[in-house]
Amino acid sequence: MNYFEDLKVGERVVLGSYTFTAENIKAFAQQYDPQSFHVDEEAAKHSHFGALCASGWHTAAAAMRVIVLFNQRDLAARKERGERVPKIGTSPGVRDLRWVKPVYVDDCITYASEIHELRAGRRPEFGRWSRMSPAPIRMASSSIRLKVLCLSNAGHPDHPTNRSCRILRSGGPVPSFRLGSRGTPAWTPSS
Amino acid sequence: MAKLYWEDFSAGQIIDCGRRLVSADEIKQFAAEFDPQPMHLDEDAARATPAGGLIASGWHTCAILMRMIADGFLLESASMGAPGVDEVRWLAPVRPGDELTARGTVLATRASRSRPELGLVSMLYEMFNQSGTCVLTESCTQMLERREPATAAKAASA
Repeated sequence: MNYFEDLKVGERVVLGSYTFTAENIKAFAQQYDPQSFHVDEEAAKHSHFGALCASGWHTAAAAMRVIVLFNQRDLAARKERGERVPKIGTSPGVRDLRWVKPVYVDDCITYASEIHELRAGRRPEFGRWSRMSPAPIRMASSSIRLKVLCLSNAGHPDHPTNRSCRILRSGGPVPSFRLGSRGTPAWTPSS
Repeated sequence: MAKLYWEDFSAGQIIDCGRRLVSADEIKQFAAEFDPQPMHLDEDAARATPAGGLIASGWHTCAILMRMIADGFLLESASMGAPGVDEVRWLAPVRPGDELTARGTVLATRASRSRPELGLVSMLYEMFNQSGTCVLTESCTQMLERREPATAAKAASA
């Protein structure tokens, strides 16, 4: 992962893969999403999915796993080369998570990310960027897409990050209702 | 046997999704598998991060909410899954020992245009800790089977 100023909209990275097995699908679902089509092969056959399939939250959690492992490899490589390593902030949320198609037993999902938009954060040392992760699987079709809002810090404290950044491509429509108790949408529409 | 169908949901309903205690072991177990960052994995390492102590992965919080939704009403309903989630906001950290409560508000319901056997329910979920702080909000659409599939005439008049 780069410093905020080095990120470019449209930049695409293949993050890694995760294989869904009957065991890990059922283990996740028994703990967090015990709907019959996620925990019971026989019941799943009779559901509209037609076979055991992973909880959508399992496919999202697996995306986080490949993101974290990718970042760890990337940061280690930077340290190895003697480069400065940017701090990465925690994410305030996710938008437009789409479970495009079911993930079945033995599907190996490859997650890729693309920088979707860049904007300066409220804290001068951080810029916000969102990663959109389409996931080509077998036959390059996608089964999950999501936008994760990430924070990456600006490389130079005196860099005019706030002035130089603009949103090059805006996301989809913002939900028309307000969420949560804080009253401020995490993503404000760009103009 | 499914008890709740799409017809049983209407805008404005608030559904109590119960409570759930979060343990340090559960936080670490989830993180080891899906989000192996220091603030989710180890108390000592977490203290050195901006989190100031062990906190749950945001994805773990989402998974916990899913379980609370399942136990709250979804396992007793004719659920057909969900196409996705419009937005998740991680508003405050979830820490070991937190007792979480959750509620779902039905924002809108609509029949599927293409599939007469199912209907869609838009939900806003809010999760709170024991101090009443909202830790997570999630807006999503759920697909539920209809008790009575739409007929051509009903669909046309709808």
